[in-house]
Amino acid sequence: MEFVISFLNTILPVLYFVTTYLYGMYFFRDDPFAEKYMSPMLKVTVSIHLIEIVLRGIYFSHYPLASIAEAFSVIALAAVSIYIYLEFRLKVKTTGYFILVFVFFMQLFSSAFISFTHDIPDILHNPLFSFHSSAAVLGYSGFAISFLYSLMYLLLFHDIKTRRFGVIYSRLPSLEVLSGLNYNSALIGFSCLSLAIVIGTFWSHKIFGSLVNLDPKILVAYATWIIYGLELFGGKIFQWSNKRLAYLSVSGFVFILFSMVAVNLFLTSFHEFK
Amino acid sequence: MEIILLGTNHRTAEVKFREQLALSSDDVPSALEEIKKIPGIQEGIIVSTCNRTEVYTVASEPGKIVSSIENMFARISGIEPEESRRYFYNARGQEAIHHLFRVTSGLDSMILGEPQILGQVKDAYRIANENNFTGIMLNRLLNHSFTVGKRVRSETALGAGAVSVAYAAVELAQKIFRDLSRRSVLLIGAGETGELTARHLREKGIGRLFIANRTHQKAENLAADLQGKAIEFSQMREIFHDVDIIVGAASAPDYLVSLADIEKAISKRGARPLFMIDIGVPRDFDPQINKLESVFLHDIDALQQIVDLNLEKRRLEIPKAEAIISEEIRNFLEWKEGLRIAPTIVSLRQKLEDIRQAELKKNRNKLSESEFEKADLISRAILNKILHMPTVQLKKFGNGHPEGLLRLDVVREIFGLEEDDE
Repeated sequence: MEFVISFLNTILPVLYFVTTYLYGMYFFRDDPFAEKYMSPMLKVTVSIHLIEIVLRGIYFSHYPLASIAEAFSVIALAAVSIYIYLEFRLKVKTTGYFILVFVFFMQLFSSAFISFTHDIPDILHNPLFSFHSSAAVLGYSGFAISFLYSLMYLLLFHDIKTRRFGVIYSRLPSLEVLSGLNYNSALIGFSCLSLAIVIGTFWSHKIFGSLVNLDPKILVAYATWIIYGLELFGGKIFQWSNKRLAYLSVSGFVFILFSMVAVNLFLTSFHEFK
Repeated sequence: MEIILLGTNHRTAEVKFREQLALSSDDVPSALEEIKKIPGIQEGIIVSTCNRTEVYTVASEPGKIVSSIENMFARISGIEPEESRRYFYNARGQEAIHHLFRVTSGLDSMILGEPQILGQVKDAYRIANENNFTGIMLNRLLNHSFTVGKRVRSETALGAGAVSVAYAAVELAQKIFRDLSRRSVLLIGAGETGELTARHLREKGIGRLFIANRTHQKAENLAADLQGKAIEFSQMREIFHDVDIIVGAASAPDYLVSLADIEKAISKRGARPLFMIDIGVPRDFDPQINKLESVFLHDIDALQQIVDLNLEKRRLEIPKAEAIISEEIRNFLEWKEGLRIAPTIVSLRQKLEDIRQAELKKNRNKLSESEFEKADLISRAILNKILHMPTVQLKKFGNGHPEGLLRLDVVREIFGLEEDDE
């Protein structure tokens, strides 16, 4: 069984690479072969990814979020699932390339650094943990997608404003569509993070008897929640332009990345499950 | 039987000559009647647009057909035959078929890949059909040419992207806004390009349309035509905050819209994007307006840049379109080749013989050796008797029978001989 899990984990970056390549061929060259096969290939890849994570969870008897490498794999799966939903809803396929480049690198990192072990802290067996961490991972995946759509928005905005009518202009959907995708994915992220915070607070109260916890990662989560809350609700109240909202989304995700790296590199806390 | 083309287009003749030769759809039937009178011509069609007048005919003895049609056009247009010959081109057989397929796919059009020509050739075919001047050859050829036109448009990007300034403006609007039906537009100046832009926006389902023009009556007329609303030229600034697209087509000597005008509008409209298209020469909008974050201002040069890029993209699709045309020419020639008598008789015999052999083989184990030989003899005799009359009739079709080709085609179709040949 371990061999099967290890094999699937190894081929996942390869599958994501092929899928990303097909989406790239469609984006840059409008290739009909790529257009025909990219969506089925994506669904096959995501199915294998899901099977791999479920098998890993069952075989090693833990919820598959025991390390950063495992979390990256789940974030990649969640991000790509949100993307598939958006592709299905809006019938826009030209943005897939940008999402999949991100997903490919997340999975590559995960497959390179993952370690298979049965030695898992007890806390990971708590059912509340699975709800809390799933909501948090979905939340951060939503923010990642929102970040990518904001980047696309800013690229297209720049090209239209400066009269560069190249591949970005001809292949990306309209600014309004990109802005909507940014908003919707940020909303998914914000809702999930809110849920993660509520469950986390409840859990913290149960274990530590306190609703307030000043763990660095929790502080990062609060700050992230405020940034995206500002984007989602402040934007409407203060009538900020879509460009400003895109900048806010990009800044929010850059903040998440830097904070997470800093927290994981320099600080230790119960959130690292040591 | 040969397909013959005689024609003139934007490449071979200047507009003055093309105008004289162009036939309206009301004039075409009488011209077709003239062509019918030329000895040797069995079928004919006239395609006449502002950029081309072409005659495709089917004749058993091509001989002097071309010069006869040239003389007919000389009579209609009043141009001396000697002079008109300089502007005409002609082609026969495969060359003529190739030309027609290029025409319906938009490769021969003045604006590469333009879609109207397919409809124009369809109209020409309908008129020829109504005047009983199409037969098996042109019916097949024209329908084949429509397939070519559709294939080229669906399998290549020859018709993709805006190739006119007015359409490029609409394409740009669609890169900013998702749904034009929820957007409103103000057109300043009711000139030709402005009107065309507004018309394209209307076709794309734009919401409210306001028109302001120095001569108010002209704005009223255009507004009535495009289901818009005319507003006084002096009051147009009052609705800047309320519209999403402003088209400047007035070509005024000074800027009609200043930075201050738009800043004032933005203070009322908030951060919603505003798309401004300046197609006036001299320009109508102060270029400084583009510095405002929520405004996208583009002038005619930017739109022309889009047109040039799209035309270049279309040109890159020509080899793909030519490949489709070559494939379809082969298909058509295969069909035409099949219309000969001898191959049809051979194919028909082979088809029935294959059925006989297959049935014998199926029953091989149920019959003794002698029974099998008898079955073989009897079935062969039946087959020969069945085929005797069709063979005699088919040979008659080849000897100048008036509907010979048509009947041959029916025989090939009901016995499925074409599928077998493929």
